[in-house]
Amino acid sequence: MKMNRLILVKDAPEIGLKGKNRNRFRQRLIQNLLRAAELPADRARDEPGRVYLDVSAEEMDGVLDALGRVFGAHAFAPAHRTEPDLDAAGEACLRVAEAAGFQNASFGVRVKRADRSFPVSSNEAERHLGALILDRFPSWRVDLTAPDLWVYVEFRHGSAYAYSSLDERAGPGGMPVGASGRALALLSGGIDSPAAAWMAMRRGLSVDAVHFHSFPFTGEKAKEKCLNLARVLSRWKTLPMNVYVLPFAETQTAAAEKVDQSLWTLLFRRMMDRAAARLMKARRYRALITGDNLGQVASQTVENLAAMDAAVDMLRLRPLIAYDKADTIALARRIGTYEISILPYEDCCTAFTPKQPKTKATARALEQAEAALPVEALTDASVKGAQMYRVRPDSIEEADMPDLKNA
Amino acid sequence: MRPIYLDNNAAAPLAPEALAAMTQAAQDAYGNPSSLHRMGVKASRVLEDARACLARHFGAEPREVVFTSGATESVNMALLGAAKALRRQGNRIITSAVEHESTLAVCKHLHSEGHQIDILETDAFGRVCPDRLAAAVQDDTILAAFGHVNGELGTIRPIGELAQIVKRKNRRAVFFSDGAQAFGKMPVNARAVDLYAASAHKLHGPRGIGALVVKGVAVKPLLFGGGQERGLRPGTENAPGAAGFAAAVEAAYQDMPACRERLRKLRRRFLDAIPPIGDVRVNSPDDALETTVNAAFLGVPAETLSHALEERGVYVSTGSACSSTKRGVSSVLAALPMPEAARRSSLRFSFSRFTTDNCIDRAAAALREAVPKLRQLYRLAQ
Repeated sequence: MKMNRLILVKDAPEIGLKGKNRNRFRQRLIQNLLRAAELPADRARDEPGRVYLDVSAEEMDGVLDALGRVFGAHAFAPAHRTEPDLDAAGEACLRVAEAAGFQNASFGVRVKRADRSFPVSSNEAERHLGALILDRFPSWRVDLTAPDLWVYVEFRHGSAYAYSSLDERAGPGGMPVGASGRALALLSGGIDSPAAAWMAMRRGLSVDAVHFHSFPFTGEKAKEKCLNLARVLSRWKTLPMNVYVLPFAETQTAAAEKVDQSLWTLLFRRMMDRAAARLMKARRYRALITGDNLGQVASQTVENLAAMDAAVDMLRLRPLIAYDKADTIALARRIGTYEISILPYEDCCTAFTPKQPKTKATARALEQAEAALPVEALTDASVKGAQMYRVRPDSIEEADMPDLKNA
Repeated sequence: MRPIYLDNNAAAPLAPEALAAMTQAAQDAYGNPSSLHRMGVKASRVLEDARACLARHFGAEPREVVFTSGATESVNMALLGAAKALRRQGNRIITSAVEHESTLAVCKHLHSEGHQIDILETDAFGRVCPDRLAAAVQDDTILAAFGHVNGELGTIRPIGELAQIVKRKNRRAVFFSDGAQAFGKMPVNARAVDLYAASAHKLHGPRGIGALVVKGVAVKPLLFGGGQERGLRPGTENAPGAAGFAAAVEAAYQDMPACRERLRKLRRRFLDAIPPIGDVRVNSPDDALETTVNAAFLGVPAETLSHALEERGVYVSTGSACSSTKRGVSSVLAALPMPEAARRSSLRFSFSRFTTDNCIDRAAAALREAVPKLRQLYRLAQ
């Protein structure tokens, strides 16, 4: 009897709710699954609400690990595939039960009939398969409310699948990366900005990053730290992450000379937004992702956010806006960026931290302060000095900076 | 532009002699030194030749030289191993606050296991007062740990005298000295102490190999395995590393008096070049080892200045420690009696026999250019 090992992936239920766009989402999900698992296209089979990936026993653990980072995957489990008949399915159920390794256990069988033409009803099939398992493991008992083990069986056109509740893993959910378009994230090196970028990716945005590097006020280590954060994020993206590193010391030096220090932080952000906006326009990023969080530091009041945002008209997404710091830290730990973020290398603003930042700045005050600065020239210089790195989990390569003519 | 590398106390570039010796050993002596066949014997010959060479320059017997992975491991082996061996004798350990972090970290660990750690104060150069040391040694003092040359300042300690002071008060106490910043840079006499640590990459040897000299004192092993290195450091020996270490040591001690004389002049040249910058405080003593100058450029954060120098092709160090609270301030400087402003703006320039007058001139020029600029900027930021 033919029986294969494979991984069954359940879509995020949200994808199923899509109307005309569903297919686009699913194709993106399948692509991302294959890329994350490093499998060729012919290993994936597409069924309503499910993606099946053929994997060998040697590949299994590595693929399971990688799938845990593919957004749009709701849950997944290693499964057995058999002929779509009761005998074959029974054999598969016994394997699943055996693999659980219980002496005494409560169990239940859940059958799903995607193929409605299957001659036996789900109820009958469940009873039949349950009896089969009881036969083999007489000390087990059936419990259909909260058993130690659920044996899941799905009858579909051409195949049946069986898997164990013990093997089922939760995926990260969300939407497949790329399904929502492209966005640029401000990546500082702190705890928040990588978490914000991750949340944006989880909603299907394909995120690249921009980092403002304040050499000589911060060193190469600060830049490397940011690139190392991008390494971790690129695992979730399933694609290389482009990181644009823009020089920022000139802007800071100019501001230090001309502008009252209570406005520095906000002014810096407005200058960053301006430079980022140029990149976004030239490279077709639709939104800027930031790690801002209401009230976390003095600069993050609603007044200040409004004053900051007035500089450039663009879509800003702030996924962490209502997070508590503890939530962000927990998220960063889960993503794998926390340990890198807490390394001591300063980010570009630490060298110019005002003693008393304004908590209620106005756009007007910032505009007046900026009148003393060559805003355009500084932005030009920052964008012109950009370096681009193509970051993968196991490599960071400096790439040619794309032409930004229309910036 | 060739880099002006003045961070030799952190890691020194590999000497060509060391590279050649390592390459040859890696190609020819690939056997396991413990194997009984000819290839094993060949590797063991390389290892023992290297050991003999090191012993000669340590002033030790070959059997007293144990290869390790570097000075940090040597320090751990010495302090933990001796403390373990001397447990019955007492639990007091004496050291100073300006030791290398590896010594301080091991002492902290020993403290957590119930040892009493006595930390001697030093003067502003990290020197230990002999009378205070004598007064601090107790009947139950089992170990004294004082580095030979301070890596941050270059201060040379008379370890032979210090060892005598300790032994006069308690002849059973063991004296350990971390010689990572001394061995290969000045003559060393490990006979004067009981335990002496060294590292290859500080003297233009390869990374990942060091040594501990163990002179007739009991040290318990920390690792267990095949019994190599007198059971103190089990695991297949790193014969190519040892060959590279020995070649680097040989090269370092060849012509050392002349080389040191040149370095002394070079250091003088640097010390003469920086005062015109203004508000410079030299933290190193006059009689420091000629390879190190530690100086504060008041009014400029050390890290920013180091990056500004980096921009001009000059590589220096802000200190060996890096914690988020005292960023860039080395634990050594933090422990020394000196003004906080000086601590925050101190840089370490460390030279080696590959440093030239031209390096010194370019470093001084970079400082003359960068310091006033940054000073002005940071005045604005105040």
